[in-house]
Amino acid sequence: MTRFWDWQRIAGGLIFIAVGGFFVLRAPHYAMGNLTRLGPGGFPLLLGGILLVLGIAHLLTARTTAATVIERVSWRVVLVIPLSGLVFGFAVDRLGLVPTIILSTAIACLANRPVRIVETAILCIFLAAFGAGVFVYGLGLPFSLFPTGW
Amino acid sequence: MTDIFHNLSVGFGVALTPSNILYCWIGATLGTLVGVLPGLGPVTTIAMLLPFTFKIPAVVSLIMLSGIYYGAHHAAATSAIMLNMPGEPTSVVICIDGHPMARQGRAGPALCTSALSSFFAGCVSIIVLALFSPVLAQAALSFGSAEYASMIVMALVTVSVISSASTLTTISMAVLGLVLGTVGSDLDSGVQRFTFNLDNIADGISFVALAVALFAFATIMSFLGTGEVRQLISAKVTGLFPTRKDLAASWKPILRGTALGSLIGIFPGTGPMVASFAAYSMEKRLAADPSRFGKGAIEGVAGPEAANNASAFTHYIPMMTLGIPAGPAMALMLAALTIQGISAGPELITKHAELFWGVIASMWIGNLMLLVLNLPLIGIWIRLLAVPYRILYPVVLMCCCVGIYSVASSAADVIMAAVIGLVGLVFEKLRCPPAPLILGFILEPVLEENFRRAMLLARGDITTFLTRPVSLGILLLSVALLFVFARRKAHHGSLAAVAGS
Repeated sequence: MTRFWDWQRIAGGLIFIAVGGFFVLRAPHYAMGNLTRLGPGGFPLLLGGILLVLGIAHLLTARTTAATVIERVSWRVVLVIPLSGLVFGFAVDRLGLVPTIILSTAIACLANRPVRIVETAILCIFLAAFGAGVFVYGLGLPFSLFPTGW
Repeated sequence: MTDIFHNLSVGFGVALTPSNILYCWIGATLGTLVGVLPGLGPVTTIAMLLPFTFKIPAVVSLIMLSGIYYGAHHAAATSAIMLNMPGEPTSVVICIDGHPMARQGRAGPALCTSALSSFFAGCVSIIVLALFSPVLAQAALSFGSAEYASMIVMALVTVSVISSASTLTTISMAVLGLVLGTVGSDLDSGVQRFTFNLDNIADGISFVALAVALFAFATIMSFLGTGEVRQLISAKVTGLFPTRKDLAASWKPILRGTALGSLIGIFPGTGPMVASFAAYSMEKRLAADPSRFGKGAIEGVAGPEAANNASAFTHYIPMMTLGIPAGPAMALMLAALTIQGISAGPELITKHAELFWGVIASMWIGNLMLLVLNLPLIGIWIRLLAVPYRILYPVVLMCCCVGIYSVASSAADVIMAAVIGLVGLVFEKLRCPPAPLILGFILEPVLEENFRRAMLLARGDITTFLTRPVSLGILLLSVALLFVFARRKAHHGSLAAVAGS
């Protein structure tokens, strides 16, 4: 029977090894204590060690009889949605809520094809008004609406 | 017994104040809305709204969030039946027979049966919740640290084995959640662990940012990436009410589903999907003619829908009395309590009696509201199925960003969530489900605290977890679960296949 490498399993295993290994290496920077009185580093070391072992187990069981089908990834979506969040995070303290919502919503709408310009514009304006009305005036959240100094 | 009536009257006193009725209604309506709309589920919605509940009293916030939760469970069947697209993963099985019923022009009876069985199962399981919680809380009071730690391990094992992904992977995700949970200041000594002087993780990774990233950002990306496939039944829904024959066929499955669902929901870690799958395969096995299943058998709608809703309510039992959530939605409820400074556990019922009984009473009221929302008003929701996702996701994204920011006025948390969202998508593509991770993350502080205390009490003897009989029993049960489910998965591939077999 032909055997294949299960690449998803390998990649997952490598992530677990990396994170587990990092915590195992880093945990001894904190007091370890002893078994009776565990210090702050003790439990993370234990957990990191378990994760490391589980990650290695992924690599050891990565031979399968079925070829893996890797789903198609829409790069447009993968780039645009986090970008929208990043822009919100970087802009909100500098530009205020209204321009930030317009900007990040406009970017978020790019994830969907075809891009509908009129619909996007209406949505941006509606959400900016909604955000200002509900979150700032309604719930009293501490946002400035526009860039400070306006 | 008189206790119960006294407690319930206290509860109704809380739940029947006009503002709490209003919040219950908002929750139930919002829940119905997101339950119906594919791609937007209760977990995403609760994650999105969680930050906005910090400023209202805990009981009000829990009443509203619960409304969203059970409202969505109730309504998820609508899109399963009409679109062949589960509104929530819990209603995957409803598609199998509900959609064929709709294709045969029997959408009305299918919708009505599912609404009635949800209502019945809800009413009964709320009683189970009210009666059983104090008992379990009493039992849990006798738990020592070792038992508690073992219990958490069992919950993590359970949530891992029930997932359709590889058990090795899901366990790893749970451990990854635990590992991430250690970031922040150490409970005991206050030492900053793994924070690298970053301000926004000094108190640990923000739960809201993590939950929103995994259940909103990543979910939106994966939903947009797969594209929408809709097959809305355009025929008008005529004749809502089931025939006498339908009722005769469905009352037994409803009773069985309610009993099974209530029972399954009590176990910590079982998550929302197990009950409906189990009920479906039970109905199929009991049926005189199993070949009807998959072609529009009403039992395949009535039983799983009852089980699904019954377990939705009994899931509150482990969350409230043990502080151990059954799945991501319950983890978010737990966070809603924790952030308000209320620790769920055996003492919750006595210390916060008004909250506990108030929420239970509000569930009955909410259930009644849902019956009205889902039967006479079903037409409105069916029309809402046509709302395109491209309008929905920017709204959700905006609310999420505002929500994360508002927790600590921290723009850095929003940036972190955007990055974690990307990681979440990578995990999804690698068949690593997020549910065990979020459970591990929220349970880490409790697990570590109890593990360390148990070790202290046993003077460093790690065998204490095996020599204390209750703890040993819980751990043996976890190992048994692990083997039983690993074998089943090896044979059948996944839970879905188990239900279909």
